Amino acid sequence: MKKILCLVLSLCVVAAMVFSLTACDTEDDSDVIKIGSIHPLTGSMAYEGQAFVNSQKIAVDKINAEGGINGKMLQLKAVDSLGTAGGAATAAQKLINMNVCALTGTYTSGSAQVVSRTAEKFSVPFVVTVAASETLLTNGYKYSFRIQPSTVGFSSNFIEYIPYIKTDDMKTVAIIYEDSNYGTGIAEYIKSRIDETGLEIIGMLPYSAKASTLSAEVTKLVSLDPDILIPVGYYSDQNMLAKELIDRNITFPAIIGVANGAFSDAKFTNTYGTQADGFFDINYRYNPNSEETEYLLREYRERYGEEIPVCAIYGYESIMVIADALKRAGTTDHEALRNALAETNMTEHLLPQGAIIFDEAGENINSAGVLIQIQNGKQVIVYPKEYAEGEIIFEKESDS
Amino acid sequence: MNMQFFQAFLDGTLMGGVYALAALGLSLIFGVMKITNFAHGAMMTVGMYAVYVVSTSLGISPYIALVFAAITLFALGYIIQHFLIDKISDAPTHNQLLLTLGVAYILENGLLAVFSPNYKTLNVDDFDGAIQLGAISISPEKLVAFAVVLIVTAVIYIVLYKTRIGKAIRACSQNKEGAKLMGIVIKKTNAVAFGIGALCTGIAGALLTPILSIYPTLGETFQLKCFVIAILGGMGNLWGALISGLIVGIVESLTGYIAGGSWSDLTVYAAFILILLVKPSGLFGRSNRREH
Repeated sequence: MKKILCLVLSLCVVAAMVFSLTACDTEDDSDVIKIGSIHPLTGSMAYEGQAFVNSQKIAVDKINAEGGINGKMLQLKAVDSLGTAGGAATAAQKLINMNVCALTGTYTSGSAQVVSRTAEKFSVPFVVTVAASETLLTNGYKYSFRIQPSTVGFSSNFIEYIPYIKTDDMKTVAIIYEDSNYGTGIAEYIKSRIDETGLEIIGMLPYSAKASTLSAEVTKLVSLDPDILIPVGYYSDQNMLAKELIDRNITFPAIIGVANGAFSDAKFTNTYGTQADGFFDINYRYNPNSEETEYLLREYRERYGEEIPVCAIYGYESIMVIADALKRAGTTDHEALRNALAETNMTEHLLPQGAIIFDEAGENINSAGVLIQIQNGKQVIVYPKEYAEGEIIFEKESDS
Repeated sequence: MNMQFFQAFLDGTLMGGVYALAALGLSLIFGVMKITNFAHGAMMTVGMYAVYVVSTSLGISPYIALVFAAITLFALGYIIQHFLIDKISDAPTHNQLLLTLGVAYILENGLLAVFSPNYKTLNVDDFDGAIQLGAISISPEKLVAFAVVLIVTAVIYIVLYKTRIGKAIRACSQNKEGAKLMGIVIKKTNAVAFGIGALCTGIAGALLTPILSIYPTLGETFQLKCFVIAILGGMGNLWGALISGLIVGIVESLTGYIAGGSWSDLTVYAAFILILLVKPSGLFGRSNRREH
């Protein structure tokens, strides 16, 4: 008897869960335009994943408040990618079945590869929010578009910006990077073009982003004693690296992150205050002079009680780009929307770059990272000039 | 031996101590209950969040908050054993194993729901940078962690060897039927043992909180490391776990220093496999197979 009761109860629970899930999707949706969002909402990257969805919601609400797209309201459908390629594939499939007009995602390059393949197969436009892998758009796919700079973009920004940071007595470089596609891609690219800068690489230090300590790597850096340190990695590992450097009072003439997951994050400066002053980072960022930036930053702070993680601006912008294309296409037809996306020429946006225009491969031809320096415990854009919020400060002020 | 090499050795030793404490908990649980606790890493994360919450909300040092984490984790471990694992103690081992896996998911996703996936960093005001001894610098957080590990291990040793409940736990781990015949209440003893095991990993987590940025799934990183250390030390062998923890910490750090961090895991696991090939019961494990 007890067993039967148990069985009946558990069936009830499952039925209730299934019902509550399906109930969300059965609403009448003839008047809405659905956009799919595939990001890691659980697991170790859930913080960033959730931030993308948050900023996308802000964009959707803004467009709807202004009357929607040709009278129809936008609706965001977010599905968890679990941070894995398999999860992203399932999510893409699920969203296509929900009849979304376009997909967005995915934060990790592995997931983005899979989604772009699925998007191509079903002829559904896919706008990458963040995924930096340089090879992502090299398959000749027609339905995938990327707004942000690739790893090559950031790395060539480094080569381009280094003359503004480098002084004559800086000769040697060490790169400490997380050893997946992203870190390795950037490190190898910089290595391949380092001759152009007149610098010499004296150390390449890969580490696993899952490492529980980077003490040994930092000790290695002390013995190498480079003039320029280039750290590349995600938030938690780079935070660990910075903590080790700051606590042990280890300094180098220049520390220049490239697409660093921590240095450009507001949480990072909240943690270290002025102790991290002088750190550089070449990264994506919003245009500080844009009114839209101001709106997004304020709205995010008010709704979610914290500063927007910088990567999430691409969540907002991805929706804006799709909305722009939807308006021009005048329909949610996938083919028409794809063609409208390909013809994008958007000058009103919050990125520190010229117009958003996609090339044949779907890359944003004007995409660029900016050079950021931490000054007085805040990230300040110091280059290019038109977006600069301050000048480069060369002498690192003493911490003590 | 140059100074930097020694620095890497020292860092490895200090971190190894923390690994050891977490693994010791796993080893103890296995030794007594003969079940592999897949929720060990998640419990460690619970310990981290306990310290984070208590420390930030009461504005006290994480090293005082550690006591709360220890109590919370002991209670959590006791409850999990008493109300969950014990209920299916007659079920096949793989079912018990899956139960702990289920607990791990519930804990992780519970943390995710309550604390959001946002990284949390705890600043310790107690310390002002690293301690400099000539060319060597020592992280005070790691030094304190190591000292606490030694104290906790000593206390657990005393509990296991000098107290009534400790003797009961050891009796259970040696021979369950025999212990029962001697009048030991197995159910309670198991729950206390699981509680102590959870307490170990909770304290290890608490000690890492000032060192790492914490997030709900952080424990996964340590789960596998704990397995390796506990197996290397001989499942159920506490001293073995302690020494193996130090070995893993040192190997990891020296590999990171000499060859680069990417090689750390590879070296640790390669050494692990090699040792198992030579000595299948682990470095300090007894080779006789008594029960199964």
